[in-house]
Amino acid sequence: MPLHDSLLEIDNLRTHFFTPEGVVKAVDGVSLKIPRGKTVCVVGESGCGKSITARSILQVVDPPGRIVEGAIRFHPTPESSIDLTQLDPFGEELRAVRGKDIAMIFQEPMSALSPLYTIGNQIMEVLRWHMPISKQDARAQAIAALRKVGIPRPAELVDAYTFELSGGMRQRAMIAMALVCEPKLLIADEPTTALDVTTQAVVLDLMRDLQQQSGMSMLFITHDLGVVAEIADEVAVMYLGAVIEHGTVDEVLRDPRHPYTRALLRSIPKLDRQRRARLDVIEGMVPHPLNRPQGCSFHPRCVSAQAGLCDAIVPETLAIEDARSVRCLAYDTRYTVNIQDIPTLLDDSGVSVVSPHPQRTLLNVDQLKMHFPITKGFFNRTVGHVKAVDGVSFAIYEGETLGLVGESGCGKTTLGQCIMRLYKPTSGAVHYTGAGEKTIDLATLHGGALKALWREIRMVFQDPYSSLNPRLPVVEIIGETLRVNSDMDDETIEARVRDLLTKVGLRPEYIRRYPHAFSGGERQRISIARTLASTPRLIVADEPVSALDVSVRAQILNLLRELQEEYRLTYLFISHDLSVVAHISDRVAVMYAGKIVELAPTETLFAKPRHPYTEALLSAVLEPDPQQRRSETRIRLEGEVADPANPPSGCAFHPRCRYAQERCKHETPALREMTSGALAACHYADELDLAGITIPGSRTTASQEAHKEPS
Amino acid sequence: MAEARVITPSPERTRETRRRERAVVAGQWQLMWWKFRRHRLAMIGGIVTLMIYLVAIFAGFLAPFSADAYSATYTYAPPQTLHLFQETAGVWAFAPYVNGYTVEVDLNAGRRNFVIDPDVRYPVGFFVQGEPYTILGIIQGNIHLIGPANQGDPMFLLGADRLGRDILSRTIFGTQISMTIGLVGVIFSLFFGVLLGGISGYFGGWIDNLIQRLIEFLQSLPSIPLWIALAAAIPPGIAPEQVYFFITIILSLLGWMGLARVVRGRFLALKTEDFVKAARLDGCSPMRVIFRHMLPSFLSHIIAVVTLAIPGMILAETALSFLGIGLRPPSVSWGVLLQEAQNIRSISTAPWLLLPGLAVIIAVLSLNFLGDGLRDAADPYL
Amino acid sequence: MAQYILRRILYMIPTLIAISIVTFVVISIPPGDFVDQLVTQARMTGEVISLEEEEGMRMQYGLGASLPEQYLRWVSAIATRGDFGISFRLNLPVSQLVSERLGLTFLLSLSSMLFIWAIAIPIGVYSAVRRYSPGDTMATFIAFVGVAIPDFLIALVLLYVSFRYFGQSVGGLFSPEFVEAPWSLARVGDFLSHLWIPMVVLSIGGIASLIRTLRANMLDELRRPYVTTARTKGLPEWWLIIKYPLRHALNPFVSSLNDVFVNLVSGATIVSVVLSLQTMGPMLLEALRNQDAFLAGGTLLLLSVLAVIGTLFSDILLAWLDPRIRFR
Repeated sequence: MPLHDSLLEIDNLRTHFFTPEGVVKAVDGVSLKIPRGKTVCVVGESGCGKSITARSILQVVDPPGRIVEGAIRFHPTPESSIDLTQLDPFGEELRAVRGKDIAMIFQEPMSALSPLYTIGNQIMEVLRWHMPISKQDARAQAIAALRKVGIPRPAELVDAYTFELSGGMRQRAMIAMALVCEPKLLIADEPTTALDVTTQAVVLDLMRDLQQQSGMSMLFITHDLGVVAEIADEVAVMYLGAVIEHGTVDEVLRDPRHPYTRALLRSIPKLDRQRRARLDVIEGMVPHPLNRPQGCSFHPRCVSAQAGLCDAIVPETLAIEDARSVRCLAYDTRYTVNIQDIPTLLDDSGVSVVSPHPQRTLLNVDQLKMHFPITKGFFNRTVGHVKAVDGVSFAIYEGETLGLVGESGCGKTTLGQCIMRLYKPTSGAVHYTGAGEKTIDLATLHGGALKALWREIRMVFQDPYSSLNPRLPVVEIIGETLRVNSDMDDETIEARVRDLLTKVGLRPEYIRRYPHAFSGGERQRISIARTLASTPRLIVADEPVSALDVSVRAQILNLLRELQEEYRLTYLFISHDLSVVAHISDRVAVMYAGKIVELAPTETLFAKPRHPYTEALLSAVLEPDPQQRRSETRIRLEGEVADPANPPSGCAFHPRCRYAQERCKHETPALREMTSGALAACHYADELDLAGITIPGSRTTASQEAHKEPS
Repeated sequence: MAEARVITPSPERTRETRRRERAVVAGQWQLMWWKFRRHRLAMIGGIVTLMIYLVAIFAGFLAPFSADAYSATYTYAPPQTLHLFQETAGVWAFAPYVNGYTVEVDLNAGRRNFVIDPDVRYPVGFFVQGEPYTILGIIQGNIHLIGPANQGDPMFLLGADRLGRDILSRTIFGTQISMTIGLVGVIFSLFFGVLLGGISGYFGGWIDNLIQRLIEFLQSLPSIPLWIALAAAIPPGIAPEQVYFFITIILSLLGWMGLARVVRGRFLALKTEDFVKAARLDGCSPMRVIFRHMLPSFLSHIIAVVTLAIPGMILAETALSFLGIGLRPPSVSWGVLLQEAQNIRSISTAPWLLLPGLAVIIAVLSLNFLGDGLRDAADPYL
Repeated sequence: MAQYILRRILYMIPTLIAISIVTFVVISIPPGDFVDQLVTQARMTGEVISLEEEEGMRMQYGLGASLPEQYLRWVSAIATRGDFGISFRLNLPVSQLVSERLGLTFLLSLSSMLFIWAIAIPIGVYSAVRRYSPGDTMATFIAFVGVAIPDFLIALVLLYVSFRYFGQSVGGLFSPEFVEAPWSLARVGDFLSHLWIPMVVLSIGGIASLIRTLRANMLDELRRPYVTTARTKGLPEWWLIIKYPLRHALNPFVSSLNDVFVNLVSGATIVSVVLSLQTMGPMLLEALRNQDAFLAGGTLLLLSVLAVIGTLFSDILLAWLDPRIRFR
């Protein structure tokens, strides 16, 4: 009997979805081995089939999906082998494997766990269906499992419902549930995607620790190369239903072979990259699943694609070196395809945008507050306030990009919407100096004045699917502001919209199309074109790239940068992603619990943070470089993000701050200017020596840096 | 812009890609229609509904007799079969006829029984002259789609009632009131519902709270006894049109709550949609935001909900009239017709009195199918 | 939980007050009153009632006072003494007339509801889990038809069929010999043997609509991530369907329960008339026709209270099923 050194072997798996529109080949020939005791990351953009591959293992693909071909051989011991695809999905044999030998966790613990049962109930259930165990023993084991994943007061929280826990705690509970039977393989499907960066860092640490303690294998699905670098032993890169490159994490991330992997790594904003430089991009977008290209599925977007070869021949998976494989004709000796790298778009103009000379203040926010009443009961009594924005002051200078970062619930979106006057602020002022050099207070405007303002201040929303009216064609969506604010006739508007579409990189013929005909990235371009229609001065961009695929992000970021130059725009760029903010911003403001805790020029803030929260945020940034695993030095933030309805006394960050002193509990620190010119709201900002990340910012040294090949 | 390189599609254009190309410039109503068309039952429901409303409009032409024509001779005459062909001299020819009746007197029960007499044939014609009628209040006519070739011959395809009136004709005329009362009732409901639901959703705050509490309260009341009580309060002597008006008001008074909830729910959900915010930021006035950006998004839902509300109204009217506190003779509605079948005696004598019930079932069923299909098609994303 | 129930019961008080007002208003809408009706009847038989006599009778029945005064008198009598007044026509206390019928109405509604559940839940679940199977198609179609048929029509057809083919009447809740008899074991048995026909008739509409709701809810729930989670945990399919999607699907189901109950309580009215059941409905109709104000008012009020109590139970059930409501 052969000895199997891998725990699970996926062999030429094909899972197809039989929809009324046609067959979607979500997984189309995936082969993958998961070694014992190792973590294999499957990485890819949305729609590449990574989740479906994971679901196929336990046969929990929802209809109309079906495994049509291939084998998934599971070797619980080196001597044994079960082909999971041959088991009845509702049968006893597969049931015995599910949850016991192979467990699975999902992205959204809120929806993956039932809110109707306590977490203890849902954990104990796994034990009781897999082994003869008394209720008391199962409960004791559930409590032990919760303790193991770091849930405080497990004996108490075992009886809690999911909605009583925070996001991070829920994901821990989910992990506890998956691990309670001590499985040999844990499949984790984007387990940290829905979490805040600081929580993500902690959960990743936890998962790695648990994996090392138990010696189980882990199949980790993610779209985030930073997460891959952090946790993987091996990486499989997927594109359109197939693994196109496979190797150890060092090999793949530091020396990628497939043109897609290379391009992907180049296109993501990294902290060590040239700030504000154009990002290298992968052209086009992931094709519609029903419309897969022939030949190599990546060829339409590949700069190395060889006409006549790549568009005709489906590449085989080729073993290169020891444990590496790649699926590209360039490595097939029978063909002559040369790998070229995507053209570097870096140019000097990209760096010179910032005007550091005497800046004109465009917007001056002064002690802005937005409190939402919490009402309760039959008569909607007000029982408290959510202090979403609680006394925020800052200025935005003309032509700059101010990045606003913070974790979910910190009030950054509300702040943006207050400036847009989608909300009427509770108190405070927003002074805006318009084109006419007249300064007005936005906070008190209404009616026609507000309407005039909205031509100069525009907004890009996060979700490209909900921000475009599904019932209007593109010309009406983009032209609406012209129609409302000017007396242009239809032809003029159309001509203008065509013009704008070209500006944002879409074909002018698209003006009659409806939003449903566009992909996420294209929709975001339309959204940007809409803001440009009224010749704005300030654009508030609320997470404009968060909902987009990695390869499309760079395109949009470049577009924003180019438009900024062309129209001399000012951006307030709201994001939770520090790498993106570092890339695009001139200055960065960090928010926590409705307040700005630090505001400084980007280089300063990253190199020398002054607030402990900024330090923790920076430390949680995951870079796609396995050499930078910093689990030892990484700051683990304890506790939860402060509740804006009931913020802690004194400094709102003090319960989680490792430098907190007695004073922090009582005295609220004001945002004050440091000697460096940075603003920080910490009593000890001058004394603390906090760790930062050096990012290249000057225009001279940067270009060589960015040209450097990953080696 | 450099990165927007266009991906050229593969040369062979399948039907699938053509369909998709057509879809990109298709508006939302177009997409909904495509989706609706795939729903076979809904299509059938839609067609039947349309036909029923056509019947209501052209009732005078379609019905062989007027609603009130009676014939004491043919009290409780059973339905006849319509024969389309008959044999004359060994040749089958198209010559429709119905058989006549002979009367047997049941001395024990003390009543007359009709028996179909195969020997008596009354010729039946299409497009025959008959009683005069008016369509839509303007078109006068006396040509009927079908009727006895010789005026005065008995023809009761669905039988006759207590006064010897033709059930078929009465059912056809009943369509007018039964189908419109649902429609009018729903329009009234929609008015209240959209008004109050819109106010509730737009203003929010304590107004919303008040209206919500009111709706909750009204929904906790038992509706049918209230209908009955209110309907019983309609003074006996008033004109049929007024009764019609009161009944629709009563039905819609108790039916607007569901619609108001739907309107409010959709309104609140849409209000927070980014594209509605974007429309505000484009400088649209509240009216423009509502009518251009929000209304089209929930119009389809409203249409679906309204379609699904009509059957309830039809059933309610039928029930009230059946109990004798809704519409009353001489108005003709399906409920009024069923009133004839209220006791076991008349049903056992003339089970065909229940046939108008079939009309109710068909109408309600097809409206439900139609509404279900509309609701599915109204889902904004493909 | 106890706190929730207490709060919920407290909320009932304003509702009950509002109901009593609405009831009273509805009863007072018709022009004229019972005395007018008597006078008209008397006139038809040739009698003449003088104006003084009329006023005397009004005083006697308490109809002379202003409407708010009449309302207060009526409500306080009910609240303090459980005295619903007397029926003008039958000259008997309303409470006496109503008491047995109220119980029968409640029993009929309750048993119909349980019957609806017993039939609709398994069919709805089956229909959703085996979507597009022949069984599902059949259940869906039957549900559609069931919703479309007015219940009194079913009752009529049933009457006809049993009369025509079995030669017996299916009306009533008791055999003739038990109608007036005091409660006894035999009477209970007789009641139960009569109960099932109105129960089935009343249930068909409810069963049909609940199959549709439950199927739609289940189809939504079956796609939810927690179902996949439960599968990956290795639970048997039948168990996880009952434990997760079914219980989730029951939430909207339970919250629509009060509508069902309200409909049953009130829907019984029409069916009761057809099947001549001794429930509240026919009595209400009779009272309304005769402007027997106290009888109609009492009946309407009690029906409404029954509906409100049904709502209360469904809310409590909902809170028990869904911890999110309890914690709110």
